[in-house]
Formats: sequence, C-alpha cells, structure tokens
Amino acid sequence: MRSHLELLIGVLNGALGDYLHRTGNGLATPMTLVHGGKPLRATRGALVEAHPHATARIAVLVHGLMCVESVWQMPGDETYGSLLARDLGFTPVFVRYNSGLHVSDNGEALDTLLERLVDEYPVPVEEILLMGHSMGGLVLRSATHVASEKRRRWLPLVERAFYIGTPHLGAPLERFGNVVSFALQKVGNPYTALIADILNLRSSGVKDLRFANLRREDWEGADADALLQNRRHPVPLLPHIRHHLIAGTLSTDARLGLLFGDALVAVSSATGQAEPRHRCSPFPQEHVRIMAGMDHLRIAADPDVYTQIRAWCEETREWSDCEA
Amino acid sequence: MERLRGLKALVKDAVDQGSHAVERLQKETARRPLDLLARIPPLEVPAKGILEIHHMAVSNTHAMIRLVNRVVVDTLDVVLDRADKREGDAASSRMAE
Repeated sequence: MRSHLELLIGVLNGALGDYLHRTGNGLATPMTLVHGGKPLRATRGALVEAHPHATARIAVLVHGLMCVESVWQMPGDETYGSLLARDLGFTPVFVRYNSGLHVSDNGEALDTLLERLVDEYPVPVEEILLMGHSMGGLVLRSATHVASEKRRRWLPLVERAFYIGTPHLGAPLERFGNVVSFALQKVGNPYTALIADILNLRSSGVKDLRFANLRREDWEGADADALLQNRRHPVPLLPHIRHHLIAGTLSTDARLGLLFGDALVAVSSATGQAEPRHRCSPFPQEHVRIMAGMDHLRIAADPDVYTQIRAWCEETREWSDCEA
Repeated sequence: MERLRGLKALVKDAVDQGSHAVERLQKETARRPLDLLARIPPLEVPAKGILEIHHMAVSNTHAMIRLVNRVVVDTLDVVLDRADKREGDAASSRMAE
C-alpha cells in the first residue's frame, strides 16, 4: 500500500513536480537517498544504521521520470543493486527525486548529495558505479558535468556508468507532444487553446526530454513551449568513466525494434548514436547492448539485463587487473 | 500530514485555476457570435446588453465556485491544524512518560 502511494506521488511529481516545488507543496519530493522504502539522511549515523556492512564500492541507482526506486524491483525482491552487492561486493544506494524538475536542477542536487555521501560514508569510498534508468541516466550525466566543473571529490571515484533506456538524444513522444500543443495553440479556437494550455502544464522535466537537456543553459531564458527548439550545449563524455548503454526494443524483429524502440525511447537515442544536429557527444559503441523484446520498464528489472551488467563489470575488473 | 496539506493545496489550485480557464472559455465562446450580431446596427445595443448579462452571470457563477472552494479549504485547514495539534500533544505526552 505504502509503495503504491509512493509510486503515485512519484507519478505526480513527474507530471507537475516543478509546480509542486515552486508552490512549496508538501507533495514535492526532495532529492534523497532511500533505504527500505524510507528516506535515508546522508549522515554517518544514518548510513551506518542502514548499511552496517558498508563496503568501499558504492552503486548509485537513479530512477527515471514518474518513477520511484521500486522500478528496480525484480520478482523475488531483488534489484540490480542487491545483485551487485551479492556478486561483486557493492553497497547499493538508491536515490529518489522530483522528476518533474529540470534535469539540470536534479543534476546539481545529485552532485551535492553524492559529495555529502562520500564525506559521511562509514568507510573510505574506493569506487562508485552509477546506474540510471531513463531520465535517471540524464540526471547522472548532468551531475557528472556539474561535478567536473566544481572539481568534486566523488567524481574521480566513478569508474563506470550504466545508462538503461536513457534518451540521450531526446524522446520522440515529448517532441510529438510539443508539436501537438503548438498546433492546437495556433488554431485560434478557445477550446483547442484550452487543450494546449492543459498539455503545456506538463513539467519542466518532461519538456527537458524533448532534446535531452542536461545543462541550465539549455533551457534558461528560452520559451519551453516553442516549436522543436534544440538549444543544447555540449556536455563532453568524461574520459575516465566507462559508459555502458542498454536499449530495449518492443519487438524481436530488428526493423520494428528500430522503429518503435522500447515504446518510449528510440534505439538510436538509448544507444547515443549522435549526429551533429543532435548537439550531443556521440557515445562509444563498444559497450552498447540492445535487449530485444523488452519494453521501457522491463529493462530496469530484468535478469538478462543484469547478466550483461555483471559481465561488463567483470570485464572491466579483468581489464583493471591487467593494467595493474 | 504535510502530504495531506499538499494534496489539499493541489486540489484547491486545480479547482481555482480550472474555474478561471473555463470562465475565460465561456466568455470567449459567447463573445464571438454576439460580436458578429453587434455589427448589424439595429442589433448592436441588444447584442452588447446580452453579452454584458452573460459575462456577469458567468463571472458570478465562477466566483461562487471559487468562494465555496476557499471555504472548504479553510475548513480543511482547521481540521488538519487540530489533527496536527492532537498528534503533537500525543507525542509530547509519550516523551514525558
């Protein structure tokens, strides 16, 4: 029951989160760590109590739009975090946030939270693994960008980042919504204008997904409802981080998969195959996996996806051992 | 309790802003045909009069909706304040024990 309520509030935050935040509404979710379904303060005492056997390797899991941390839950109550803990000795840390805020706002908040986490963590942190589902991947990229500008201590500890169904080049559904609301507004009929106004109530977080805005400069001073205006600024990929991308496709047929992606995110967007018009750094394609027959939510909690994540982690470990 | 207050505020805002939007829509919908009628010289005065009366009726209806909304919200505020106080008293008596 409680988890359903949290999910409902997560959906509400995704849809209207910026409004809730702006009006100081008690339903607005602040960015926080979560343990056992409850907010966890990033203080040494609270962290020791929640993770009495904390290890030096942390896996940070960030959910996507209109979700909460339960999106990671597989049958049998396992998550990628708990499996990484069992198999590779990571301590999983789940993040909950208001997904209706701008991605850049959440990126800044996550940067602050991770710096505090590293400060307060019970044992010295040796490695951080970042994992984001859908919008969570964009929040991670935004946070690493902010951290690189502020020279944060947590950033050099990040060795790997996993982006699961993340729309690196934007989401077609949001672009469609933008075109529809723009057209309805232009009709000049009071009824269509009202429908357009209602459509345009969608949150800044949703609107950021149009072109996957990561930085404040991407949206500041611009009309959020202007027709298909890509104002992205470059966010270079940090060379010390290994970027792993996982995309889902609804159909096992390759052509249909390319057409529909995972229902919400196109394959080219989830695999970061950027062209100059996208105003986005292209992702190296050696760590890309397309999971056929998996929709957008399933890739966040599927044993086959975990098998791939684990294989990549072990491959990197072998690589690190060789380097050593 | 904070979330209950949030839900209350959200419903209040939705009713308030929804009422404003519908009021604008109703006035705009009535204005178009009556503006056309007002271009015919003998109908100009009655058309404008009808529009005035229509706008007044619509404004009054929506003002009433918003007033009732505010009264309900204020009543809920009192109920939530009392519940908050009772919860606080119970917590402090537990602490005292």
